[in-house]
Amino acid sequence: MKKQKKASNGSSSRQACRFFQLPDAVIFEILSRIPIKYLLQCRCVCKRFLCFTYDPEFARLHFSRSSTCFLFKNISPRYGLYDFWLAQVEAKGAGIEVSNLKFTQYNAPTSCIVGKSACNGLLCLAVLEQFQSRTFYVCNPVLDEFIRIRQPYQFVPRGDFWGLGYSTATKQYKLLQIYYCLRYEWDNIPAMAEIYTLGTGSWRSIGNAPIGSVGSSSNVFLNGALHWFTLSFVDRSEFIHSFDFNVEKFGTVPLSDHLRKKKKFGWHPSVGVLGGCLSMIHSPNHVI
Amino acid sequence: MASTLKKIILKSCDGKILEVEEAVAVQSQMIKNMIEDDCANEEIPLPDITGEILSMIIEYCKMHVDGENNSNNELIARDADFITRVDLNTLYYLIVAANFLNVKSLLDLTCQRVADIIKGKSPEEIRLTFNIKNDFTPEEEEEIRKKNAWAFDYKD
Repeated sequence: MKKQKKASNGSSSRQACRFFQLPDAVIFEILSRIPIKYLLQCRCVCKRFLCFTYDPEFARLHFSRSSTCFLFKNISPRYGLYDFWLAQVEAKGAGIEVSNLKFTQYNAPTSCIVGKSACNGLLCLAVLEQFQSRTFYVCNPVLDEFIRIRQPYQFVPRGDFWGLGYSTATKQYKLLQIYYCLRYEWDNIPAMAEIYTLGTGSWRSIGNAPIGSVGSSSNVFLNGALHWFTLSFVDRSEFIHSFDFNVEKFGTVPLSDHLRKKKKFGWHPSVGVLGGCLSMIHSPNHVI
Repeated sequence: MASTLKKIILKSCDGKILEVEEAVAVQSQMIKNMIEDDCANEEIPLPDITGEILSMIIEYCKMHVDGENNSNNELIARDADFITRVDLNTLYYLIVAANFLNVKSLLDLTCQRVADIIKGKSPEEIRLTFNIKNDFTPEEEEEIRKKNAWAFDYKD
């Protein structure tokens, strides 16, 4: 009797493990095809599922398969504060399917976010703290981890720009910040450029940034470089600024002829990535 | 011409012998390597694959070889038709076999199918479907749910 019970236990556990009898590499193949929202729900299934989703190798595979995600913020009707959302867009038949995830305190700081930048699934958020001082948070929203980085200066700059990038040469994440010092006049002077390499704990100067390179808050990381539009009205219709994180050099991407002819892009044109290409969003009829 | 008509002989674990055209057999990277290494002149024993599963895999590979000139959409539709006919139990065997034989497109298709089955199910439904035991205490599960609250549906 005892023996029989043991046998039946054995067979039921074998049955239970049917999925887990598959090689780990195959389980990775399966789970890496599940959109992020449903994958996170899977963490509640059992301890092995939970472990898989925290495996760095798995995280890389999942990220490489992920469909387009959009980050956006909207004003919460209840508190007048910003809510922060991640929306994943997937093809479904002839149409698309969107799954929304709303950030919580476990994923990222959720209040007083004044700017965002993203690179390889990591987010960098600028958060306004006490006395108008600003702190950067680099978050891995999936692993519920974040680190704080203080801004490089002690004063309030006249204008600044920042963004997160990755150097494939050194395999390091870097935060670029460009800013004007208070003691200078706004126009025709170069801004200061500094880099914070994650893991080193300090900012270092890389000299001056090109004139007019202090940009709008929208930026995008593509092919090893950060891309953004300048705030300067003079340069706006000519090119997109870029910064290569491997060689730590500034550059420009010319606009196509038909865009250059347009001259007017409305208020704050922004850059994005679509299908591995640099894209641009502008609303020429938007009048301020 | 002769080489395209060459037959490869496969033997399943339950003793079934299947003759397959080389063009079909080389959809399996493993068999392709064996042919290149000149190790496929006699029957190839496949210890973990039953005759039933092997026939399905050959059907799939044949479909891909015959459909080489078809449009991508047609192939996708055929793949979908093939995979939705398969129950979960058979799917496990197909995955193991596709992995062993290294038929990449079939491994992709079968893994995607399991992912689609998981997608949209609650954790409890996933456990039931895949016969997975919940090894969390209620407190642990609650904690994970709380940490991942953004992935669960909410009202706003």
